[in-house]
Amino acid sequence: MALEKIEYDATHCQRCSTCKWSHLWEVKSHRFARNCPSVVYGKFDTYAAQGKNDIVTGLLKGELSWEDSKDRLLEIIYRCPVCAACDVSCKRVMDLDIIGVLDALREEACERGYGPLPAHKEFIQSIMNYDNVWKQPRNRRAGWAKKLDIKDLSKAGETADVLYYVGCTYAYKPGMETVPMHTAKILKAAGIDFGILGAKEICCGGIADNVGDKKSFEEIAKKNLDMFKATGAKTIVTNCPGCFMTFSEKYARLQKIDTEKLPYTVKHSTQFIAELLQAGKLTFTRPVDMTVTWHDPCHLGRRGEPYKHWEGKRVKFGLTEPPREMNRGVNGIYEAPREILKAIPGLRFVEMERIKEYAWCCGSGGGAKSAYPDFALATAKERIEEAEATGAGAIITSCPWCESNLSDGIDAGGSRLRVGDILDIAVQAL
Amino acid sequence: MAFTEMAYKALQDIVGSENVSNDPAICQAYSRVQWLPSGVLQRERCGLAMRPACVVMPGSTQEVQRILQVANRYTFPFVPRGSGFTFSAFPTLAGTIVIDPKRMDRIIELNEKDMYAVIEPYVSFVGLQAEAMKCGLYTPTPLAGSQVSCLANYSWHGAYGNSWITGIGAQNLLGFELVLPDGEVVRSGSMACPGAGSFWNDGPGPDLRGFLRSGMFGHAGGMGVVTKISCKLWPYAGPAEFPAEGTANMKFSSSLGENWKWYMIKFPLKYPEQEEQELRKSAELFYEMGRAEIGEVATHLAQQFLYTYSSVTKQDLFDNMKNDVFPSGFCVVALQGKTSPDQLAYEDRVLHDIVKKVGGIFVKEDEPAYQVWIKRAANEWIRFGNAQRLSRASDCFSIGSSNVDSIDQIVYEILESNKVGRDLLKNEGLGKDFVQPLSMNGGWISPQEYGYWCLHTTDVFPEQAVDQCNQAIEIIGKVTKSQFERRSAAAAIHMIGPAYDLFGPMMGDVHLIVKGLKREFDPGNLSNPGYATRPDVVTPEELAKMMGH
Ligand SMILES: Cc1cc2nc3c(=O)[nH]c(=O)nc-3n(C[C@H](O)[C@H](O)[C@H](O)COP(=O)(O)OP(=O)(O)OC[C@H]3O[C@@H](n4cnc5c(N)ncnc54)[C@H](O)[C@@H]3O)c2cc1C
Repeated sequence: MALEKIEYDATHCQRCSTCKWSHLWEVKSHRFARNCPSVVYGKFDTYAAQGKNDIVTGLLKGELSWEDSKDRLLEIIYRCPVCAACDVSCKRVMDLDIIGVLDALREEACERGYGPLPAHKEFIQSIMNYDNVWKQPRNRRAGWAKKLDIKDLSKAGETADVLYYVGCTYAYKPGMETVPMHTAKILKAAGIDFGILGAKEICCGGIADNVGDKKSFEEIAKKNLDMFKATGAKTIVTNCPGCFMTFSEKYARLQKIDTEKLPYTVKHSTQFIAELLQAGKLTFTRPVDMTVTWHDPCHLGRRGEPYKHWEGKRVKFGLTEPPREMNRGVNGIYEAPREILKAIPGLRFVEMERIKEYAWCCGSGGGAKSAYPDFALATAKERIEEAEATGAGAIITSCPWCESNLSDGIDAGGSRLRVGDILDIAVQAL
Repeated sequence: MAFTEMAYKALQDIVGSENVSNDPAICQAYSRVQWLPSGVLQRERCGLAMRPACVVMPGSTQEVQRILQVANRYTFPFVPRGSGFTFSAFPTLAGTIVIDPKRMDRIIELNEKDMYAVIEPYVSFVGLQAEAMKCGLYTPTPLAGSQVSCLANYSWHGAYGNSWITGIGAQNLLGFELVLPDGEVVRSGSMACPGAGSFWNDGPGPDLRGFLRSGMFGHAGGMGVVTKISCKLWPYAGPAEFPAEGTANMKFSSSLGENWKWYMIKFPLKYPEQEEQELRKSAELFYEMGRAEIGEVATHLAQQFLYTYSSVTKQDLFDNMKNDVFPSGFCVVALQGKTSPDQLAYEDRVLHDIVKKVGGIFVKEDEPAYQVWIKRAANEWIRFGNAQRLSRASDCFSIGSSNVDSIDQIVYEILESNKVGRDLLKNEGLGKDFVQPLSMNGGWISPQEYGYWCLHTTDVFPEQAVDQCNQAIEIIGKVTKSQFERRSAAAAIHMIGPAYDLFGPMMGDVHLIVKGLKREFDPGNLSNPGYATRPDVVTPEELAKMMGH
């Protein structure tokens, strides 16, 4: 049973509410002091990590049953972007695996046949039928690459130093195809030998894992791992933080190995490009006259941390045997995008109050946007207000899910802010 | 007493159906307090009775009034809460509702000139501190951590890292608005006079602080819901934003700028053999500092504080213990140059003279204790407290003893309390499975208001297991009994229900006055009814037995 794995963690929460606030060295105002979109929107403590720990405790102790309140339980579990802000805050004072708790609740819901939610099933079914989350034909996947003369590594005999993995949303979502096109342009400008998987690229499956459908995830992951093996890819570059985290963290967890033991290295495009800048293989020369702020995508930051496998048990006083080095969200990708922005001549970069491992989530992750669009929108609007407070003209990010949700937030709130992808800006500076 | 479907509908009418819930899954998150041994036992014994009948979130004083009127009409009990960190924020009787203040989170006024803030119940120290520091002011912060509600904290007792100057919560309370159990509103201090400002609790207007018995003192029944307070802010000459190094649990701020200076002071004594001398020397230091009226923080940190507060992980905590990083308790002092650099330099000179006089030694910067405490933890006491980490050792802890008295008497109380604990460990094996030696050593001396008075705590660290929690309660009971026998002014806070009746006669029968007020203003006993620690966790009979009656 999923919940038993995290019994100690859930039942030893001291309900101190640290999970509801940003790191206190980082808080700059009363207005932007909170970190958990779920409890800010749901208000009842139940929606915070603390409440979810209580739910697990209740379920395990038999005080609460699914039959008591199945629909509400599903809402509590799934109206959460699993952004891990709670996990990072909690670990400042305790040693509990809060993300493990949130994950286990979703897995438990699926094991019982209650989860995932219909909106999630649609995504998963689409992956099963079309290899992408958008119910689009496979042969359109590489439509953006037409006429760009990019190697297709799925073809026999084709090889390249770098496998550029595009991801479903950049490949299919109208208006977002500029991102892979600009990525290709930048990689070419830096002289990188790269290729794509063309129509054979399939979804990373991260979404299935996020919503607790471990079986579907395993199936999809296996296909991808086989494909990576077949191409002999040693370096995979991707723009989508969801894919990035899935390949580096989730695939490692699935195989019960550390991320660094994976047969390939995954790099987010911002990471790869920042390295190119550092190595002098790429320079930005043309000024871009804009004031921008950067939104850290959770899957790139807090959740983009390499996985460290641990198998062991809790012993006396809750110590772990062998000692467990827990993820704390600090080793995600935070600096690379900032380095890129700072390297663009003429660009003025201003930070929001909640940044890096304390960033406020856009609200769309973990299946929250598809199942609870109102929640996702409210969460995005909060971020937009925070971005507006910086005086920036645009909020820049590097995640298709964040970008489209923030864009919805701008439309709904009547904000004059613009939202954009970092590479759409970077390409202007080439 | 009953909470009926009709009552629920009435609440929905007041706050809107989205702001009230009787869903078992929602209410489950309001039914448990696990960090405290008596909380563990309470949960074990009360079971689902601790789950509220519903949780309601009012958005204004008027809504609170109407909720309490409904409570009176349908005669169901209610428990208001801040963040819900303490054991007394939980129902102890079936059919109780919880009033969650999340919709009341405004800083209504931050008055720089008169140095106070008027706030609603869900304003935490996190936010208030950030805003106050921007204006060169700050709040005292409870070690509980700044994520708790300022209002809940000030309205109970509030003990702070810098109590040396600020005193306790009540002394920082400049006014409040209270909805009495029957729904009527009263205001205290100058807040009661329209247009007078919210700067002073002694008047104009009535000073009703003694009447306020929420929080810890709600054990004999609360007195309604506080909807607004005015709290004092103190001069602050540090940075509005702290320069922090590191990340996440390894994030520290080791500098508060040039207007602040931290010192760690020890005595050349062997520990634990010379614990008594060490504590007495610390007391001498505080008396001298009080005489000279210097300092912003002055406190004696017990080993358990040093280890738990400064740990970055549980493993780190146990490693530090193994490496004897804090071989004894230490005194920690901070000076703040509130008025000028010269003032800071003057206080620094005076402190050096005093430390020399009492035979103390300044801990050097390269000593592990300094590195671990001053670099990692000290500034947290100014910005956000951090005692959530007290639970890190065993994921459960309790105050072993606590007392309010003069500094020298407090030293005596710590020694006696530790002696009882050690004897119980030696002779009866009580607490042998707790985190040791933390559970039987040291004590927090927290002198208040330049040492005018003082409080202390000692701590025990059992695991969250019924057997260990029972032992913790037994140890605390026996320590309390010894205090009782010495006729000390003990505040046996974790057994305050029945213990109140036992200690009342020693304190001018205060318990009878309190109960009289309660009968008058809350005849139905609807506000925080029952005991914080329910009688069926520690019954009056059990308690009396533990105390040898
Ligand atoms: C590890 C740890 C360390 C601690 N250290 C300290 C410390 O150093 N100093 C200190 O002062 N405290 C300390 N505490 C105690 C406590 O957590 C704090 O005092 C804190 O302020 C409680 O705030 P809260 O918001 O969690 O209140 P809650 O727990 O929600 O409420 C506390 C009490 O106040 C009542 N209450 C809340 N709101 C209202 C209202 N609006 N009207 C009427 N009654 C109300 C509740 O019914 C309850 O009885 C510590 C606690 C822990 C667990």
